[in-house]
Amino acid sequence: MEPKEKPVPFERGIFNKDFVNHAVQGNARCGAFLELSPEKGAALWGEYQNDGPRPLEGQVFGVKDNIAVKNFRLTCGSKILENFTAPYTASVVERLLRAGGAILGKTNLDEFGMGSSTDSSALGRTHNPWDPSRVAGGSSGGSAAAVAAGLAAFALGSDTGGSIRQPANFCGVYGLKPTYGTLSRYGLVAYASSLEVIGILSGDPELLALVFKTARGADPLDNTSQAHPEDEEPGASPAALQPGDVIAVLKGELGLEPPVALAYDRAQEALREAGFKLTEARLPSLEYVVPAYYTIATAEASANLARYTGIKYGLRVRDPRDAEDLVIRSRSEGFGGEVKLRILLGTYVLRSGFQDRFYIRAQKIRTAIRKDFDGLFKDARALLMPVFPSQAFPHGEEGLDSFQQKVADRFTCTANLAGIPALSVPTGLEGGLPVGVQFLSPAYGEGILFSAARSLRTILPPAALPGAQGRWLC
Amino acid sequence: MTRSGPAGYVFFMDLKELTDSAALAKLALGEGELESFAASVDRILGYFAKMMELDVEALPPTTHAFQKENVTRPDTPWEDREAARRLADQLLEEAPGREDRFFTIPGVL
Repeated sequence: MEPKEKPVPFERGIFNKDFVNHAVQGNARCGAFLELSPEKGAALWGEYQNDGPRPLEGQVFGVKDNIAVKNFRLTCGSKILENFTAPYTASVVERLLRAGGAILGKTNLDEFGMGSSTDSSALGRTHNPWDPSRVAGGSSGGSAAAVAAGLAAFALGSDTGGSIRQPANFCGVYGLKPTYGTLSRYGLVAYASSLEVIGILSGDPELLALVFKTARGADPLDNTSQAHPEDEEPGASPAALQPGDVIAVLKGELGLEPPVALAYDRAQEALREAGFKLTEARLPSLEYVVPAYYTIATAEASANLARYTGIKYGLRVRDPRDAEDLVIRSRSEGFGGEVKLRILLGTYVLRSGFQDRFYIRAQKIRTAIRKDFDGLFKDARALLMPVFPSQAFPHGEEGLDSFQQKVADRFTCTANLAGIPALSVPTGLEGGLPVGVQFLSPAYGEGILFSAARSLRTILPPAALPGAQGRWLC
Repeated sequence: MTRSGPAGYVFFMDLKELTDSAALAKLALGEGELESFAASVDRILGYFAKMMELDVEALPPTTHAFQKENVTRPDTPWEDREAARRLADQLLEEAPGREDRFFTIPGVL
């Protein structure tokens, strides 16, 4: 019998029925999507017909549920927005729709993006497709699980301190945190505005690069957005890595679990094999990044989340005594524990009398980190670092508590403080679970990161989850 | 800055500072919540204290990764007035309490 051509999940405005069944069943196992609606996705695709270039025609994608897509819900994984429907579509999503992409649904996340496990979502449980007793990571855990389980070709996430790279690492897919401002944040629900970016997860690094190219650009609706130099003048951004180039490597006591340490060593060997010169990175400010990061992130969160009052939208408690009671009880019942904790911390560090001690000092440390990177990238074209000290950890008590998760952000949150791009790269399995590393580069050096990923891929190919790709192209 | 609080474990923020911060943030903390938040906040602030080791005197603060000046767009009305009206209507649809085109709250006077 002639081998049949692989069917495509989405063609000419219609989701393949068998693919939808595959997605529904896959989602029942891993809980990647909070809202899975091929009907809404197909209808929206139909609104973006045009004669322009459509490089993403028929590519199925998921969108983290803190990014607005018109007529889909926009819950942020929170009870306070459980029934909120987005009245408009984020600029980045519009660009992908104009390029022919089709949305399958909205993916689960830690409430408002605050966490590293997706377990702090108030609205659903996401499991790691490689081992459902373990977390998918977070906060973009639903996006990572959707891609790893073969339910979407790519997914959008957001990364404030590692929220794309860590779940990508836990689920064995690529995860890009682009240079701050290259992807518009219009339509991304704000958590920590000076740190967060929208980014992309995919099992295919070439598709990821194409999605990044399609989605980026200045947007009049986000005053912090900016054009990528490559789009202004081809060749203006840093060139791809060449054999002989120097890659700095973070060394020393990194506190990695043995499988992660092993994978980190293997990645270094592979890069040497590919012809790169490895040098030891000096990042003296690294031990101060997590406190500085959480000071800034919680301060910005306390201001950004002040908008949830139960008045204009979102949860409103019944029978309030007065306006003050309405606001206080709606917030107290609507927010989960981790969100309240961060709002409290942020309110405290911004209070008069404490600002110099915490907030201003953290901003000065942010300067120290930027200076460290400026020095490092004078001699090296990229930096290799671990993503997270452990592989995907178990749900619940056996896993990491909220404090341990915060401390473990030390390898990821540096890129957010400095605004520079970083790419999480899967390098195979250890003990049946994905492992990987991340590369960082100077601002607008995404091309460097993609070339580093290509170099590693030939020597240390990522593992595909058995059955996840199946007969589907995505 | 080290203090000992009434619960025994509050070293960096006493309970009054915690309840004051909660009031400023418009959050009501229940009895059990207060204790667990006190412990969590204290643990994190203790960790934040690590920042005191670094001499930052000569460093200017960074408030933003790249932005050097504020960027604004022209304040012009939407060309498509109907689309603007539809968006406003849809936003109003989301209001948990509404009369005509107004949000409602309990009386303040």
